[in-house]
Amino acid sequence: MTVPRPTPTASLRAEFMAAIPNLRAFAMSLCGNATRADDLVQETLVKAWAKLATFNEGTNLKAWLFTILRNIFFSEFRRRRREVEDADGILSGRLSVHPEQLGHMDFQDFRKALLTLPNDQREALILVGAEGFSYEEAAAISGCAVGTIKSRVNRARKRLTEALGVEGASDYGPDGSSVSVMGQSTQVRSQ
Amino acid sequence: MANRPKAPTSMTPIVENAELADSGIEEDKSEAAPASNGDARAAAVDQGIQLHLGQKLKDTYADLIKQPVPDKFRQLLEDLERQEKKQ
Repeated sequence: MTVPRPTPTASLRAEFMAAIPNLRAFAMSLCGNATRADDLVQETLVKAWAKLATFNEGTNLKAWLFTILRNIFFSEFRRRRREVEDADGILSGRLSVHPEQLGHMDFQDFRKALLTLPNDQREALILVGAEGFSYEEAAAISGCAVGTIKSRVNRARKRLTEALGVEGASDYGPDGSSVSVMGQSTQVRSQ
Repeated sequence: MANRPKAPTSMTPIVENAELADSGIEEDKSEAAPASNGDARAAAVDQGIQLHLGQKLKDTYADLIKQPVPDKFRQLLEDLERQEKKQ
């Protein structure tokens, strides 16, 4: 016996479609690898479709899809981390430093800097600072307290500033081009 | 600043165009603060960096969002819908 589900309507499919660019951007921001990001999005769509019965129509579909995606990402990350026995997290953090790129070269340095943040801080910063979710929505998506999200965002900002400002030149490539995101009015074209 | 294509009309003398172009050039307002007070300057720089980083974050993310969506996702959703109808 299967539980009767609401029949997915064409408009629901359209809503899924409409969320895909954001889901891809979020996935790419989390994992830093275009192929893996699309795998994450695909898995999210399949899972969400199968769980449609648990979705409350009228609530925020995008937030729901984001929740599913980040849960897949974090459980996969934990699993991989165990498999690699990478207690320090050094390897996990570096695995995606030279990923398949998605997006314009102009933003490459900044994307790399984002990837140096701890996953939970990067997630919080993207949800609030880039995607525009409220602290409350971001907390619901991440399954944590609002205060936790706020502190993660603050720490992310601080670390990002330090990474780009102080260690940028040595960390993000021999050209030191990431320094250009600090506030100079002209971007250094080094690629 | 990109050069605007000229759209001369009989009513618009070239001299006026040149004045308009000049007015679009802003003076460089980057920190020219005297280095007398290091703390205040650092705070101002820090605030500037935060603003800049916030905008950079949004721009970077917007760039990802506008990337074309591979057709496989549309196909996937159609497949899911078809499977749903069979059940």
